Amino acid sequence: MLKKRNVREAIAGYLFASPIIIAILVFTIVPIFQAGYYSFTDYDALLQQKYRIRFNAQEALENYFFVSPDEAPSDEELLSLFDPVDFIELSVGVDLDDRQKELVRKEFNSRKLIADFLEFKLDRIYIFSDFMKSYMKNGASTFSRYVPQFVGLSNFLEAFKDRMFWISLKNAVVFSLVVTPIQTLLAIVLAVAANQRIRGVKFFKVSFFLPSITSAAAISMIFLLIYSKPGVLNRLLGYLGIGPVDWLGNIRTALPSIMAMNIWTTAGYFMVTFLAGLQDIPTSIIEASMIDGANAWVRFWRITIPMLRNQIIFVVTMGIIGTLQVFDQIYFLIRNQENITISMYIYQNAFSYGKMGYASAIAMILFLIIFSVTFVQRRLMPEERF
Amino acid sequence: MKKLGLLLVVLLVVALGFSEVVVRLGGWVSSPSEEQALEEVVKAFNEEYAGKIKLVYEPIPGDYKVKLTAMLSAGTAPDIFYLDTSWAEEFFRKGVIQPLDLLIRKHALDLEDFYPSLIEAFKYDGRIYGLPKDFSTLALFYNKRMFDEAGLEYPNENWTWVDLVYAATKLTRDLDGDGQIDVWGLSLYRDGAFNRVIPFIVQAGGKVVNEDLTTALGDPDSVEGIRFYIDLHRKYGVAVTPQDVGAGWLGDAFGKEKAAMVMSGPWMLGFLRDNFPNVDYGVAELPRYKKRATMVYTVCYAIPKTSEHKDEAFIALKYLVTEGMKTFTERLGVLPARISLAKDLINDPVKGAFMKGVSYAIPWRIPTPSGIFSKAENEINTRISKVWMGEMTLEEAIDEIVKNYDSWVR
Repeated sequence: MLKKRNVREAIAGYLFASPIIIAILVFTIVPIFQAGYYSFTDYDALLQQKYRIRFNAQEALENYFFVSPDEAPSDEELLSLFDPVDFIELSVGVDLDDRQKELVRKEFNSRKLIADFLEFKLDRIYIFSDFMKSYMKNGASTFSRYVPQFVGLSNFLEAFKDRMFWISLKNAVVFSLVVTPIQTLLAIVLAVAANQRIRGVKFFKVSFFLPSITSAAAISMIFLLIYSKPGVLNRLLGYLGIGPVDWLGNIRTALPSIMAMNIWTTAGYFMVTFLAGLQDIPTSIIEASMIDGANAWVRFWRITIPMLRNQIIFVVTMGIIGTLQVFDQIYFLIRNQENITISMYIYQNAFSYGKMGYASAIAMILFLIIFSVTFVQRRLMPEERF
Repeated sequence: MKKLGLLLVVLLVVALGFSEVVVRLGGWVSSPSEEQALEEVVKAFNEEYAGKIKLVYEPIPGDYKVKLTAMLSAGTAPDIFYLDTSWAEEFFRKGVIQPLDLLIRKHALDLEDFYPSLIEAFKYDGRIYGLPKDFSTLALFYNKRMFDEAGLEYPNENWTWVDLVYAATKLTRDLDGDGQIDVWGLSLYRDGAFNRVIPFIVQAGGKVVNEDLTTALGDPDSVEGIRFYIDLHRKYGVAVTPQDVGAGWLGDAFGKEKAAMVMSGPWMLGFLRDNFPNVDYGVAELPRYKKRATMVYTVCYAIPKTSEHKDEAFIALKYLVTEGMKTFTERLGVLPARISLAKDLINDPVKGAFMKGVSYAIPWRIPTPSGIFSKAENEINTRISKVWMGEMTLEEAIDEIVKNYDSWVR
């Protein structure tokens, strides 16, 4: 009896959770495996519908022979003029590879097609794969679905020889190494500040958190103005006698500028994590240390930081993952190939350069890098359980 | 009896309604006024073809090329959509776009009335894959007040590079005597500038690619063109980027009167009218050197091979490039791709310069072995920016481009 109830409860539970399970399955799990598969192929999204193109067979044949059936010569004569490979490639417009050409030459039922043509049976819209099903004696399945060419490891090997791959990877790593420690430290400082019992602390909490809920596009536009040559930053620096710098245009300053902006937007978000951690620190420990004569500085380093260990591990992990994948701010603000990060390079390959397979391979490499960094990090700094 | 008649009429209307073929039209979302004009054209078409074809306008917001690729790959692309010259060839090559030659013959569309360079822009392998929606060429905008104050004659069609540098030098001025230049002769793009450099390359007698699709940017004439563009900033000191003067783009820099001249397209006309109505300007053809050259940017309507209703789609497409183009040009002031509509514009004091350019303009489409130029474009743009900033010399940049070009366009 009890067992049955358990099963029913489990079913109900999964039903309740099913929207998110399905969403994750469809939009995360399946795409990950798909990308893994594509990384070993020359997949091209534009070819996906290659065998689904529609055409009027009658018109295509009239165009091929330059005659209509009523004025056509005998079927034998037409047959002698007919080359199925030429017909498919030129009049229908589907490119065939060598293997397919051979197959078509061997198995295409030209006689049947010509007979149907002369009897006006073809004057309708065909989908290419269905057309092949009707007129191939064997092997029509080759034309039922686009299958990308398997290319083995060549996408991965290409990445290692690609200068832009290394530049963009280096940029992402530098970005991560600079941003992660600073944003973590800043988030702790902000959290400690927001945890004080002073007037208007809510205002500070809100303003620290605000950047992380503002859209990346809006923030990018604001920073575009701040960093521009006659912008606020240069005006302030002008008072110090520092000449105007084209922060985002200059190859040397572009990436550091984005880093600063990224730290500003993410620190507030992680502050919330630390704020929760701070509120978990028992006041008794702090009071005891105060009785022992520890000042604020000592309390911060000796009590606050060690007590926040789990939060720090979490924030550093999320920080590394986030910074290695940084994309939107680069997409909006960087105009120079020397300064792009690896996610941007994946995007360019996938959507501008028509190299989806290569882009998938780089995405897989990035996945492996992030996976191993996180793995090593978890080993070196295991979370403490109280 | 009466009731039966009514019933028949209703049935007929319903039957007609069902026999209507729906043709979907997709495009990127530009200005609200353009969307309005397009909707008007669609409405007029639907009235004329009521009961036969129903054209439905479905704008595609966001990253257009990415979304269109996804739609084509899923088989849900509209029956007619826009393609831009700069990346259309990739789509032609992959066999996703319907060649229009047979449909043009079948539906008797007169191609003679289109500017040949605009038809050429959408040809691949001898076939026509799209018909031009409208076009833009680059011309020289100049600020009349500044020219008057400097005592200079306005630019005319005989202007050469020498005249350009001379005028720009005179127009680059420090107005308040604080040792800082307030107004520049020219504003030019530094980032993503390659398509703006191409007219200079061709004016200098150079070209971008050879017949065999290898790069011709290393040719002395081509180098001369690139060098002149960058020298306007580095050597003559008469040109800065819009960002340098706190402007978002060329039109902004020109409207704020920070630059006396810019080379831009007709999209600037509406912008200046709406935002800087007090700036008194003129438009002339681009200055020449060994040759005359400008860029032409154009967009076409295309039909995917997977469309279920190609004939109906073409009838709608034909309407868009005939009646529709007429409405567009009258309402929006864009430049018509058909000669019969453009006749009066050639003598227009403002639009004339753009219209004259179309006869010698180069389409913004660089042929490559793979059909994809965007990687090479990014790499070349990066190097032009670096030379402009003095991060590398032009010789080094050209050397790198020539050495690596092949790997960028494979």
